Amino acid sequence: MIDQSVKARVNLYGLFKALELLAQVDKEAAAAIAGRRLAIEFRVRGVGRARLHLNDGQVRLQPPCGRESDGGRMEGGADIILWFKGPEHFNAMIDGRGQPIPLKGFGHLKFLTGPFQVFMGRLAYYLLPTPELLQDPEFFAANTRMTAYVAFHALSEIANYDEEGMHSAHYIPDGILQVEVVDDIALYMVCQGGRLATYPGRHESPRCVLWFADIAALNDLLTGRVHTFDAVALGRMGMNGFVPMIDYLNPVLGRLPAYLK
Amino acid sequence: MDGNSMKRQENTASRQMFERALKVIPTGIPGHLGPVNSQFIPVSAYPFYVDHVQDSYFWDIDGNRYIDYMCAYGPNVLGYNNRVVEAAVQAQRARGDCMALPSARQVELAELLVETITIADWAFFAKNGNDVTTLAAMTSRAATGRKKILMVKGGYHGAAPWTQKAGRPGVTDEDVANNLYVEWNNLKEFEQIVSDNRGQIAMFISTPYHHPVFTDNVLPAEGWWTGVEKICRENGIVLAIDDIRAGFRCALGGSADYFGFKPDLACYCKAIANGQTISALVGTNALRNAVSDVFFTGSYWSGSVAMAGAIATIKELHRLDGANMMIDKGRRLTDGMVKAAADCRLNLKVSGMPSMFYIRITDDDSLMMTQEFTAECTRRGAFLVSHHNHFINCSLTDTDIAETIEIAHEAFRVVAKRHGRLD
Repeated sequence: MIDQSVKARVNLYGLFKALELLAQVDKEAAAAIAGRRLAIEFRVRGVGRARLHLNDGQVRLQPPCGRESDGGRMEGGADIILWFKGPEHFNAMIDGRGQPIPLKGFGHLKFLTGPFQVFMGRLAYYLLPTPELLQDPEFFAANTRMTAYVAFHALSEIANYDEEGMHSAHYIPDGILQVEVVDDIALYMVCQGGRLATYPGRHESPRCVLWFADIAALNDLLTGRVHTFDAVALGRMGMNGFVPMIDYLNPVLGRLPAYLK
Repeated sequence: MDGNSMKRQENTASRQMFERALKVIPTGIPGHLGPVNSQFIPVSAYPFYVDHVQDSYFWDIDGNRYIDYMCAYGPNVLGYNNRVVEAAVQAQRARGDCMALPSARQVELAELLVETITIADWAFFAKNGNDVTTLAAMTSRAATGRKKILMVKGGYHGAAPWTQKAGRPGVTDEDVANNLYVEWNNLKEFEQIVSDNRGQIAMFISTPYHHPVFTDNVLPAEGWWTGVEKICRENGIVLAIDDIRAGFRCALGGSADYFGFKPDLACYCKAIANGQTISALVGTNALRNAVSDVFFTGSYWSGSVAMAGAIATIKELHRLDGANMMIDKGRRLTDGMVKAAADCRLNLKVSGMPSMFYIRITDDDSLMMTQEFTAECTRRGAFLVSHHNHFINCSLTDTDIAETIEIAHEAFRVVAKRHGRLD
């Protein structure tokens, strides 16, 4: 069973995070937002908000700062504000079954319904690929990197808000958990007091490292084609450092497919 | 064959066998001997399959010899293929093993355990450690009519669902709904939990000292066990010691004897039969009726060969003063390793009992240097792991200890250079 508000967080802070990467790797996506300098805020009642900064073909997702009990503060203003009645409404939009309610930025409606739709559509192109597309090594790598972006950012949301996820995350020892593909994509998770936060990049002093020999090994894990134990024993992936961090993260990982379905 | 003076081989045969295994066995090597659960980091440093064993050594299927400090995770207590134990085993095998009725070995072994273990008035036999921790839980519930089991956070009592944590695959919330957890050595918290659950706790189960994985092992604090025993007595809680790992490596009378307290139940397995498959729950007369009421059995639990092996093992441990011998060997080994580390400007912390030492390089908090060290030792023929306590057995020789310290010195030097501690 999944919690709709957690799913909304997974979409808002996990799925949308991949838009940053999308703009970097996909020319069509970058072209769709080229020349635009806009801040689009997504407000989901009962969940939170996030702002997508489009800056001439580049994208940055800004989560709220400050304590959540304060409602999550956002610095500066947004050009467009899209409001959702609740998590179900937001999740329906992600699934293509609903529309947001614009609160601000009516002058940008043409962009929202035009180029921005094209931009968002490219995310689906990469994350919901056809088997034929996956035969192309370049596409395969981009698909894997973007899936990893979504998955590891989503993990933090599940660890922090899903009831079962929180139960497991409570035991995750403090420290930095680095996830990386050798000479390729890297993300790290800051684990502190049973709460997680995911960031792109390599940390200088991780307490534990989960590494993959190549993009294909990461893909095999993300798609469940290979069991972790098999991949580790065969040297296609490995762990070093304080491995209990991964042990206690595993049940949270187990919740991921239900939320990303 | 002195494998360590020969050129060491790559683990090619091990890898090939593992690839065969993956096709027909989930994860290739399931359980705690698998490369992941064994924390073989990096996996390339470790062998996966053993060809044969003798005394303190195993030879992998690539022909490399290792001085084995895991001792099959504890059962190897006298030395692999110990002559006396093997003779008893062979003799009993010729007479019969798994039969329609038990043999007299069952009675003889129970008598020997009652003579050996201070608190034991009776013994009940099974096959694995988890069998007898589960029997201890059932017995305590039968005796008290209560449901809850109190245990130490991070303690290990087997793989049955009730011993695992909620959220693990295959474990339901209901499986662990009656579990309570207390911090090791925290008597105040123990008292509070008992007070909060008055009349509901059937058993407190704990290892005699805290030997979790990935973490320094911790001996009981002054007053911990006497305090726990007193609170259990006052509140009608069955006190059970899980001596499956430490049993006979602290004292032959039981680890509770060593640490000065008297449990109601004690679980034994690994060291009682030098690798023959048997476990035992021993207990006091106060719980004789309760354990008699519990229906608990298995197809092979009355196997006579393992019982003959256990009798021979325990007699040999008595003859050798085995527990003290292993403590002494462990102390000499770890003293030498600490000095070797210091010589390479590294700090090695040794914790737990010397016969079951846990080691960690304290220069980082991630275990990465420890993992590098244990891998370098294994590559050179001293089989060490980074996450678990190690085990000493009685057949370990002074030469083995000296060789291991020499290997450790080389391994420390490699790690120290890699991390800029040495030029």
